[in-house]
Amino acid sequence: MKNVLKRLIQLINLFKDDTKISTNKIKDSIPDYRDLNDQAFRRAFERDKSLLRSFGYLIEYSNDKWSHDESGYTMGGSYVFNDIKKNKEIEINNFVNIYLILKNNFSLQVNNDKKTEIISKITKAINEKRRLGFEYLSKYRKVKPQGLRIFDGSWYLGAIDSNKFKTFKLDYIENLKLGNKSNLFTTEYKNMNFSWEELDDLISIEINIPDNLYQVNKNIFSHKLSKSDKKDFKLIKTNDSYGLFKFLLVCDGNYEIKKFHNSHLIKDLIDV
Amino acid sequence: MSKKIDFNFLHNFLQFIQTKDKWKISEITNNLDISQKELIYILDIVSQIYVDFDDIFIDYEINEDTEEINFLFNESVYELLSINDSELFNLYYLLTIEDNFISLKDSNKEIIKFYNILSKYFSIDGLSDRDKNSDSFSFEDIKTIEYIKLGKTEGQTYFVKPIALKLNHDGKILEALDLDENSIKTFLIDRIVGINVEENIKPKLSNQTSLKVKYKIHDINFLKTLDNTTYKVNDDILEIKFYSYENALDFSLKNIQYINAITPVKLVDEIKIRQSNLLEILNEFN
Repeated sequence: MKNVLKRLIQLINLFKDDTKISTNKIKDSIPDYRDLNDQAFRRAFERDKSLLRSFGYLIEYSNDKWSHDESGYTMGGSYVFNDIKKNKEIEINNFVNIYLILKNNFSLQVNNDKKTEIISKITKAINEKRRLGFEYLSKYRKVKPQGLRIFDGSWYLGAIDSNKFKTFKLDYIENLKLGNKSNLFTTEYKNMNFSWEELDDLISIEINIPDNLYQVNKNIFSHKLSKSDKKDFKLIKTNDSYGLFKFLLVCDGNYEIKKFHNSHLIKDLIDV
Repeated sequence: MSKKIDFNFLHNFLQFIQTKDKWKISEITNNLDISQKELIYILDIVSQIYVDFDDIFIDYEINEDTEEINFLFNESVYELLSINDSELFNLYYLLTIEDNFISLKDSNKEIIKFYNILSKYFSIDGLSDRDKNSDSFSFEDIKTIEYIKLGKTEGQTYFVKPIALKLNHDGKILEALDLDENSIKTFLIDRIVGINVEENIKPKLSNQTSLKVKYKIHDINFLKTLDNTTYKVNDDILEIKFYSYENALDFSLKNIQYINAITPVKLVDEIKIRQSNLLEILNEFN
């Protein structure tokens, strides 16, 4: 274990200058790798890379066919912090101290490798206005990212795909690649609306439901809530018919519906 | 050795000690919650690392009389320590939506600065507004919570001792000791509907027994949203093990457009009954 920890620190140190590093240089620079044959070195390096990835350090092979640069590995994953470090107006020690205070007080158990990597690449792409390429439900997409949206506990990327604004569920994104060129577009969208939020089939429903029950389940569907003086009375407007259908099933009749406009849209979804 | 000395710990250790050259031993052991033996072990590791043409990464000297450690850091220690985007993203997210974080932010100018710096990098839509009517509470003061379990429509009261606030793939989580059962449990923050409301204690409702459910898959892409260690697929039939019936019911209802439960019969019937009841209600509106 001691040797692994030492190697990981040495690897991070090797990439600290933000430069591209060839495979041979990596092998020569890390003492534990030097005496290994090529196959054993590859295995050890892949293991270490994967371990570092789980902590947010993304070592990736880069081979830009249009560039004169030699191909090699770069380390990403800390775009925001590296950019903050360059800003002379920010007291970096204060920033790190606050980060440590927050981190020590609250446990952030989020180490989902795939999500960590995706968030990092999307953040960099949005800030540097780079294109993103990825496989999405078996189709390859090249998009201009605009922002992220959270809905019902799931994260979505809002992006322009062939001049149209679309949302992509992060869970379905595979093989995400960051474009080589920066400053390719402007950010135009602040609200990451889903396509069905623009539809005309608006459902409105007047319902009496215990406020606690509404509060714990309200994120099941996207909707607008009109204000009401009575705590348990809600006037809900939505286009998310599947979401409302699930909300009503989960709440299992612990409500009283007063008015329901376009109720047929929900009836169509029932399978009995 | 009780503390798990892994890379994450080593990283935290380096982030902590590089802020100054001279430390009281107790200051390090208390803040990092480690024993002296563990401290010596980690010092042994970092002092054996050579960087940049065989310069030593961190050198140290222990003064046993004053119980202090003097560090000599290689320049690369400061350059090497990084914070990954995902961690900053999660902190930004929590500072935006979580009451405990919001109250921290509101009461500390440095945290406001920290938050404002991050807000230039992250563009997030859909963060629900903070409920203006909800009582603000301090994390340490939580004694009881009223919690609506997944799959249930009524709350039950838990006497708890909070341990940590976490963010994982299920969302925001309160990890707490259930004082009645003397076991550590996790509670989804969004399903906590009351805190320290002790005049109306609601008893716990059921014992949990695990349950295997088989589903017919309508949309194969749905599997990409699941952690692949939690399910099996055989002959296009999805099989998932849940820790309770209520959990299985909640999951089945919330994913009804992608998968349909086919066993056990009790669960299938419950879903059918709920749909029939809903249809009956909707038939009153045309």
